[in-house]
Amino acid sequence: MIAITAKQLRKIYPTKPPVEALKGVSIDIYEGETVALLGPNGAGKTTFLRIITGILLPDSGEVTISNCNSIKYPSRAARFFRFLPETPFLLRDNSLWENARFWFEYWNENFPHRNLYEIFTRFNLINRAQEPLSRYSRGMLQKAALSFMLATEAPVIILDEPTLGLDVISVKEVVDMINQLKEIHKTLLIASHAMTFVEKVADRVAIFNDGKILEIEDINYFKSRHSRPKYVVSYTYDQNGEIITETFTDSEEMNLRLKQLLSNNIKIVEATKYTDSLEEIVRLLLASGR
Amino acid sequence: MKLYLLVVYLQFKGMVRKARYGLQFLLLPLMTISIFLTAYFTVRALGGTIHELFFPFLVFVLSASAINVPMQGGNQLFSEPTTAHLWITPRGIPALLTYFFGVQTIYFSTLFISLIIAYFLVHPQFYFLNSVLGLCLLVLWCIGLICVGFGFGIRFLFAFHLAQLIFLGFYFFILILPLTGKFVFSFVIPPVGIISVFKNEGNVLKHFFITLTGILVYNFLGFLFVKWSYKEYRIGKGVNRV
Repeated sequence: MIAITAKQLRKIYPTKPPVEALKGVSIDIYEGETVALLGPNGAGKTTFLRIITGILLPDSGEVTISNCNSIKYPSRAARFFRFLPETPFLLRDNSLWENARFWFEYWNENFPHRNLYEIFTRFNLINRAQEPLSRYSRGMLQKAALSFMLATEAPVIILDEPTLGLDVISVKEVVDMINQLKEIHKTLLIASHAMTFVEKVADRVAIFNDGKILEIEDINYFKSRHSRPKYVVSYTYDQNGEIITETFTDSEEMNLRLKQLLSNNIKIVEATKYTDSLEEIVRLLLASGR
Repeated sequence: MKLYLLVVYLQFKGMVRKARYGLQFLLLPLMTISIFLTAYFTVRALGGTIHELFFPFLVFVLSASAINVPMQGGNQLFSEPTTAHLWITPRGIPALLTYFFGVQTIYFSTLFISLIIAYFLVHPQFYFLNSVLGLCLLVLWCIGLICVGFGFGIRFLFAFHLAQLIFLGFYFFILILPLTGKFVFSFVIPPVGIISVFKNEGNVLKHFFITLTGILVYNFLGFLFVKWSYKEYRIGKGVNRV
């Protein structure tokens, strides 16, 4: 079943001069999958998310979320998704629990007290949950807003830069919680620049550039297709001597070198195959101008 | 209604929490009382009475705040597009207006109570029925103004400055209104009718119903204006940026 469909979305901002933010973007996102939107600043990711969620109208194209047209009926479609923007709106003079009360009432949802308690604990917010949010740091505010997203009943969750300002421990918690959401078949659409995070949660990646989707693929297939393997051999002539490292782009070259070294009784320290990271692949793809 | 009460409660709690750390809680009422008393003694020195001053002042303070604060709030909220997700709710536009009305309730109540305190400090005449009817009209009028203010805030980049201009200009506007009993004014300019009802001028019930009709028309237009502003914002013509 398809959770989100976008067909030929085009958007020109009526500024002077006009800015063409989307140039015919189409995508199908299936129920239970996590899709990450990657790309440079100004590539159209946030505009795409704003159109998907009904905040902005496209000049042409269609969007449906759980079979509901979110352009024509944004409020009706809003029953099926929750959206975390880059700068979430929070009541700064109220506590974390009070903010949670507000948002779940605003969304017309039952208050998930137990679920929230567990998430606040995992995010290390529980001891400060009674304090006004005006005393929270940027990262804590992000965790607060993210907590509500992770506790919502809505089947589709859309996150714009969810790990912005988070420390490494919190990012690990977010990864674990998103993986738990995947287990209960939630659909996630995430725009992020944090490639390591994306590698841990995404099933598919969509690469945005200049208002278009360059590629949309299974993340593992995408990596294997674009990755340039590197073979690294480290060896030493002497037990306590200097370690020499050689890099090869071909496995046969490496094997040949290994045979030579072994036949000369040289101690091999490491012989490993490395692949490009997602960050490197995306950078090269964008640099190639495709 | 539950959302409205929750917002009022959270706002009140937020204000009380702030007040623990300073005098902010008292600043608004003190400012209102002091402005009122200054104006009162000025009017008296010029030979005027409390009745000529109080009701226009009441209508001014609440009307100007009702249009001013949502205009600034809407402008701030929508000039930072990433926070505009407040619109995206299964409850639609009425939920956002409920939220803003809830936020305004505490603000209006504080202003209103401050004015009543100021009013009784200078011993005026008091008409119970007129006050209740006048207050109903004033609250309904404020709902329409919140819509208009919010619509302006969403749509126009200069709304923040316009809000300040309105706040300064509104009082003079109300003071120069034609305040004597022509019912057509009550319909076209609701503050005229509201002030007449408060002051027990002419046929009170007739003023009340004519003003009410005028207010309902304005409120309907105000709601359409918010919807139009939001539609324009969604097209990308408002304060929204790429």
